[in-house]
Amino acid sequence: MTHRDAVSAAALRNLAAEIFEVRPNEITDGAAFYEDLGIDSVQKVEFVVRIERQLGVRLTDEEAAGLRDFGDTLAVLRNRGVSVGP
Amino acid sequence: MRRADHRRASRPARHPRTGAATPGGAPLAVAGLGLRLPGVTRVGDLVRRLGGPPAPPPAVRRFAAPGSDLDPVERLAWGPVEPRVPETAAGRGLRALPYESLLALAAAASARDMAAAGPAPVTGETTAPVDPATVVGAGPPARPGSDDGPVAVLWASSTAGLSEYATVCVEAATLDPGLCSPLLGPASAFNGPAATVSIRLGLDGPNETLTGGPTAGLSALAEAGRLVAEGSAGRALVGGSATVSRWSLAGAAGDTEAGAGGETGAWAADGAGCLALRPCRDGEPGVRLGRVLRLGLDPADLVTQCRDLVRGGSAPGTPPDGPLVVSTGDADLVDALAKDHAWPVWHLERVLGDFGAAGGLLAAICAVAHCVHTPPPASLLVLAVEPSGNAAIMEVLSWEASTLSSGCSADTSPSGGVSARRTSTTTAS
Amino acid sequence: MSPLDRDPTTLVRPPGGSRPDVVVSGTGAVSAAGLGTAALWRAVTERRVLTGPVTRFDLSGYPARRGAEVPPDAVAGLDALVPAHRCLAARYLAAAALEALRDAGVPARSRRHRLGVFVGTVMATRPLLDRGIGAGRLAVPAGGGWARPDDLLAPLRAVLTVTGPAVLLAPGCAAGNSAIAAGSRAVAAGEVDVAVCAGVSELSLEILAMFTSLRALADDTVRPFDVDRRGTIPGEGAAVLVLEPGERVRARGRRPLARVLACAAAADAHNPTRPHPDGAGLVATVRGCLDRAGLTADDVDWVSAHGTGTPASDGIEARALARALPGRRRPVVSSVKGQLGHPEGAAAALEAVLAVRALTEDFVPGNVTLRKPDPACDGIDLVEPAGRRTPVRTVLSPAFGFGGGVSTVLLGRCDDAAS
Repeated sequence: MTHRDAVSAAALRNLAAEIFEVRPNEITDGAAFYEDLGIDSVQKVEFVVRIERQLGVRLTDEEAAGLRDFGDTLAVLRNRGVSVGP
Repeated sequence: MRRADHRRASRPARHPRTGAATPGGAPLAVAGLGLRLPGVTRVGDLVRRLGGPPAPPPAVRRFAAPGSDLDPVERLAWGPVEPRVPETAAGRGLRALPYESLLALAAAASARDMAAAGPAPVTGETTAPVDPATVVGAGPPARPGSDDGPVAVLWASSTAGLSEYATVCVEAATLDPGLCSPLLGPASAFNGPAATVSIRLGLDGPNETLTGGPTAGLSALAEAGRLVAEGSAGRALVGGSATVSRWSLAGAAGDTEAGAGGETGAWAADGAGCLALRPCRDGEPGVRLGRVLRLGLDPADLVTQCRDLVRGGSAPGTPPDGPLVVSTGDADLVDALAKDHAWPVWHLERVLGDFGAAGGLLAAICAVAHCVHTPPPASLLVLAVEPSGNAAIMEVLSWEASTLSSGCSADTSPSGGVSARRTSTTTAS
Repeated sequence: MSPLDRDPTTLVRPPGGSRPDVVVSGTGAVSAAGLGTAALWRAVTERRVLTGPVTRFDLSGYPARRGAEVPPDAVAGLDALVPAHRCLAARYLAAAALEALRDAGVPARSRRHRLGVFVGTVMATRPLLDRGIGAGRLAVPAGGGWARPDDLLAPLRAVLTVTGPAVLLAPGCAAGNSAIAAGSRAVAAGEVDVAVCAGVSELSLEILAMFTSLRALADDTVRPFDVDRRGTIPGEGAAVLVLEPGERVRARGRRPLARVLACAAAADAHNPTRPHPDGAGLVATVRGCLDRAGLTADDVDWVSAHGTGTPASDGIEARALARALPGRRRPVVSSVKGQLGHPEGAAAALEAVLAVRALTEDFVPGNVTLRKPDPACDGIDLVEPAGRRTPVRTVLSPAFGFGGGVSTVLLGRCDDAAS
């Protein structure tokens, strides 16, 4: 995939659901990765790496560490100029 | 005469007495057994494989290493094996686990569940299945260790994590820095199986992984005996596993990959086996592990030294009293030992396949299976030898009693989950 | 019935019963400080930080490019000591073992004693595969070997005769302590006369790539227990302790260097990469060691911490140590990983060699890179960078790693210890 491709939030949600081993509808914008979804830090970093590979963006350590939920993820990507569709 | 005896029942062997047998290990009773082996769905299958004619060669499998300059190859190899993780260990988090960790978890959970189900006296295969609910559905899974000390997990493998290690290398070569899968790295060491068993089954005793050649599998049993003897663990799950990959085939070989076990009939194999062990209670019937002798032989003359080991060096002229199971890559050595051993000599690698470091452990499991299916008392020796001279020998025996209480004929069903089998006519032990 | 099995109870030593005297008779080390225990101890006490830019691999493009390498002159110096072998770790191991046996006065080539080797490793020979990492497809090196973990012992077997067991332990980064514990059990049980206990590791591009993806590497310095710690830095090397029964050492006119007072192992049974939040396994092993040795928290003069400099782990370790060692004083803690990086499979064994030196020299190495202690460390007494000259009678050395395995050893001074 090339840089700055549009990506749909639904596709990202499915990706997160696959890595976190939960149903996509559990990945709400505000469901906290650790507390609500019960994932661990390596699963979170795996999610970040898979996004980086797919979208060609690179998150800083601070950005990656700051992701608490799916809503944060969308916000960071949009800040980076990635257009995220529904 | 001896042969005739053997057809009815083998008798306990004398323990090898070359050098000093390892003191300080607790004799351990086998309380449960879990198998995920190619072509084996129950203990009886193992016994048939041991005593029967050589199995036909395994199917050809294709092995590839994408992203590398290793070409795909087609090789005879045992497996793959369906992990069939028991319900007691299933649940979220399995998807990311490496195949070998899944096999290990499944075998360990089966062994643990069987041990938790309690004594299940058996007299052979004329057994009626127990409702699996009595094993897996009666409340929360038993958490061994709640009352008699932590449960140790010891695992032998030379292949665990290798595919993950190689895949990280491929990703490091083909992707930008930082884009290797973070899930792969921590799974790329040898200890994935032992860690997975501990984490998924909640076992907080000592957690050790042994690697190297087939002797590692017997050493794992020796270390378990020590940990129980010194009070570090109340019980132990001791297992071994192996998986075949393009990486294991190329990385185990030298410059050529010719053979891969072909000449000796010892083809590489996928699989896992695990024993649930606890201290022997005095006079209790069942299958137990005797003492282990570990030593470094002079590699220049392995046959003579192994023969002495098996005979029991300090009592020359006294032949051993039972079958011998050998795990080694050296088929000629096994043939030489078979020549003057009055009892059957089974070569683990030819009977079941080459499991690397797990070989010694699986040889011990074969010996346990033989004891389960032979009227007690029965006894065998298990020998593991490596070309370096690294060797271990252990005795496996059933105690004198008319029934076993170890539940060892209980086994996994082909369809998944756990099914235990026990006789309908049992006497309390 | 097998005569040896007639009375199984005689084989079982009651927990807490008297243990044979297992002592350290020699040490050997290959580290970022170079060849030898003396070089290691000198570097540590001179407060040198041995992490630096990695030279062995091309890390351009990596955000963090540091490691603690065995210096090139030391690698070259191996040629005079041990046979050539493709696996660098295997050569480190052989060199450290030879030094340790010489230190102990034990002949390397003899079939007249039962000598066993107990070697801790994380990756064994797998780093052979790293050498194919370049740009593009992995160029798999000829000759295989990365799937033969026992090749790790090949140069060792060329320089010493193993008459007892050869056991390779790969429990994650507690490997060195697992080896010491297994060797100690073998000596205590009378299985071997001499146990060569080792931990070994070589710097691996695979591990650097893994930690880069995990975002767990510091790009400047490892700062264990510091509030600003950013991660760890991989290291390498090998270290060996020779263990024997005390009377065997004294019988040949030598004085033991230290005693193995106790070993304990446990598992967090929690998560593949994160320690248990309460440090459950660590607490269990610390208490296990003290119970077995019949000592209390106040008897521990130095805790040579695991302290890798990773944000999550150090805080958990600090709190767990404070909880497991309640006494009149806070536990005295430092981690040498600020200086040596994290040599993974070799880490615990190198720390054990330093512990033996601390016992013989009455000096506790400091937290050399520490600037501002993490408040999570309030319950422990972090040793100032200069270290402390003080009587050292016991050293507790815990180790843990991925997979949740924890292994802790407690070493003590011999009453008749050398110097």
